[in-house]
Amino acid sequence: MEDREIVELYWQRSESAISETESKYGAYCRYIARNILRDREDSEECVNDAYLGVWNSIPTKRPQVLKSYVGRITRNIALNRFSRLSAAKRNFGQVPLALEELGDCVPAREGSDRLVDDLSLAQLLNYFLSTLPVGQRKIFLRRYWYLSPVKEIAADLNISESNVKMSLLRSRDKLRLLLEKEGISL
Amino acid sequence: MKQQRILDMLEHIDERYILEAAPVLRARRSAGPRKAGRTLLIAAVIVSLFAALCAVAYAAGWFGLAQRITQPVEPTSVSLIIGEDTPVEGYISMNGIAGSPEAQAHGEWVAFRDEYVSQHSFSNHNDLSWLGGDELMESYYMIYGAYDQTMLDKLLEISEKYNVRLHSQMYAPPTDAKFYKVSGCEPFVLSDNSLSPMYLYEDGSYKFEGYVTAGEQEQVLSFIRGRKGVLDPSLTTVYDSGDYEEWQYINASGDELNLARNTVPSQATGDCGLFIFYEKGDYIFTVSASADSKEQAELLADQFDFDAAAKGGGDLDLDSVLKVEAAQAKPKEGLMTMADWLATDEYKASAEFYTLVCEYAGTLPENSSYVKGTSLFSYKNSFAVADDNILSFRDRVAEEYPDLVFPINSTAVIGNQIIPDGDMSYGGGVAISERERESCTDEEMYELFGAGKFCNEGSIFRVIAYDNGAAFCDISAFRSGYGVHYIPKGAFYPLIQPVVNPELEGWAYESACGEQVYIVPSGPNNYPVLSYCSIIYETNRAYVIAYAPGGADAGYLQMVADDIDFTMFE
Repeated sequence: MEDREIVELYWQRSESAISETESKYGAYCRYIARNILRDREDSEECVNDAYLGVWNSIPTKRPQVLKSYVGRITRNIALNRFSRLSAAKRNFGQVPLALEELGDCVPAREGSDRLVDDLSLAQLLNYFLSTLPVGQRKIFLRRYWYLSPVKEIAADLNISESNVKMSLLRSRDKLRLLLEKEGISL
Repeated sequence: MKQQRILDMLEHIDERYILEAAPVLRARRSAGPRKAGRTLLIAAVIVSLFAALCAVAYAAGWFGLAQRITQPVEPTSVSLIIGEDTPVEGYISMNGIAGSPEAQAHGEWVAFRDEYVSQHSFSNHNDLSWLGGDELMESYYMIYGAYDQTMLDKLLEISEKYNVRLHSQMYAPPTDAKFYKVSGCEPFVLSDNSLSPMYLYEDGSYKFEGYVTAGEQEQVLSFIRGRKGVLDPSLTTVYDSGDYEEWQYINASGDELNLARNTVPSQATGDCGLFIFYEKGDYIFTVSASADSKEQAELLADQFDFDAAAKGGGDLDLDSVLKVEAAQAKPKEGLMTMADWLATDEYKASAEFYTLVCEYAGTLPENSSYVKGTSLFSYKNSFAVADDNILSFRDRVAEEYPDLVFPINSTAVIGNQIIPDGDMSYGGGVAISERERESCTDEEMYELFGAGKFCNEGSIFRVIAYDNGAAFCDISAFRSGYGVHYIPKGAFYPLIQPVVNPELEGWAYESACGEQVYIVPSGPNNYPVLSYCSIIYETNRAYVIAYAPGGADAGYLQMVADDIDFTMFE
């Protein structure tokens, strides 16, 4: 079933919208949730919550690309859930590792720098991503949006783990320089 | 933590980047052999001549985008973006050239359906009682989305008017191998890919979706084979054919293709849409993808062997897959059915306990965001660390079922880590703890479960083992995985979800290990209460209940049954 038809089912308040979403994007959502939460049952609950989130938001929204829409909601719910359980699960999932790596991006200079609102930071991140070569951007997003393990990214893209790590290092360095250049404090 | 903000704000990035980086979710296959001795030829066509020549051109084998678009009967627009209406130029039927009965029937059906569903609400799509149990009509309902009698009447009217058949059966193959076996088609992608079969109709029409590697890029696409003479239920809308460049191309496998690439990137994804068209015998092939350039489009076209994709088909006997094959197994005397299982004290006690816990925790549909049933696993726990209310529920159930042996403690292993006693919580599976977690091998997990390595392709992910011999494990396998409950007779086991559709009947199935099992589909899912499919097996000492997610078809369930060596539970 095409995305538009599924969205239409949501607008009709048809329960089959959920099963169609599950059928088409269930594996995708579980992948996102499981990278963050690691725990299968947590992930299942997270994905079900995501479906409910989609159910509650359509209408009034009419997403053009359902995949990224439901993926975003899943990621958001999974990260929130991870926050609640982080103390218990610091040994699980990719979030702690990703956060540690992203520490490289925090500008060294602090104090007089301007604090940016979320929208500005999101815009800057979009700009940053637009400056990356496609391959490097994919690796960056696989690691920090999908929270995929480095080993898996390397296997998927048929490159070595050290290449993935090097690419991520360069991207993080580039992001840090951009934040510093813009005088942005996180 | 400052870097947390970066992680959080990535949520708001442009969706084109999210889609671009989307992971390949299936194991990669190695590239198949390319046909030898075929020469790459490129045939460019002057697009400006295209429109004038199209009528003649189709007769000569040229059918591009214009020949595939059927204009709506009346001007139509859709709201792709809130507050904006985008005029629809036309629809593409997956099995018809514009003007053909197939395309006309498709155009009329799509236009009717679009308008009708926009003016009516359908409160319960799962209630099929109005169809009076007519399986054929139920198939039409499901395949074409004919949600009431008016829609069904219109569908039948269009079918008769244009003399096109209606799809009567749809099969969702759980694996590639199953698809190729049933369809007779051969693997047709020459490069690394994650294409998965989405459906297969009784006439050999099918659809794949996924990623295909073309050069340095992985491209998401759908690959559809549509058979002529049938009303196509899919909906592909074209808004802007004037922005497409079109040309003919002979790909690396020697297939003569028509390509149409949108020169204007989509506002939504930033991608330039691409269609690849091919016709062979009774089938029309449509690949819907994107390409940054003509070269990239041709490179992608080179990855397909349409000859292989055209193999098999004809009128398939999907009955043998969907029903007959399943029903052929003659139930052995004493085979435990769903009704038998529901009548046991072990089931009734567990279902009652489960319901009490859900009510207490507020996880019932009417007052929680959690779907009833999936929160079950938050309560997998030894009772030793449960709170007083949970213990009182246990005691209440114990009084009612005094012959059952209740567990005192449990051992949990999640992802090869042993969760210490007391670290299982109600809220999310694992409680806050400073305690060290020891690692555990897969073999040790099977040993803990108590049955040895009983699955062939699956891998074990989680085990909860109770000290009364009951155990649960979670298996990663196939499309959606499955779980197995092992319940010794006379043991209380707290993890059984009440069956949502107890009236459903299943069938006996001879599994690969030689043991006969009873398979029950999930039945309608009335969201947010989701039901599960079950595979029931009984030994002298225990009940074994394997479950798969709701919506799994017969093929998937039988594959799960085949993956389990039930003799290991004896």
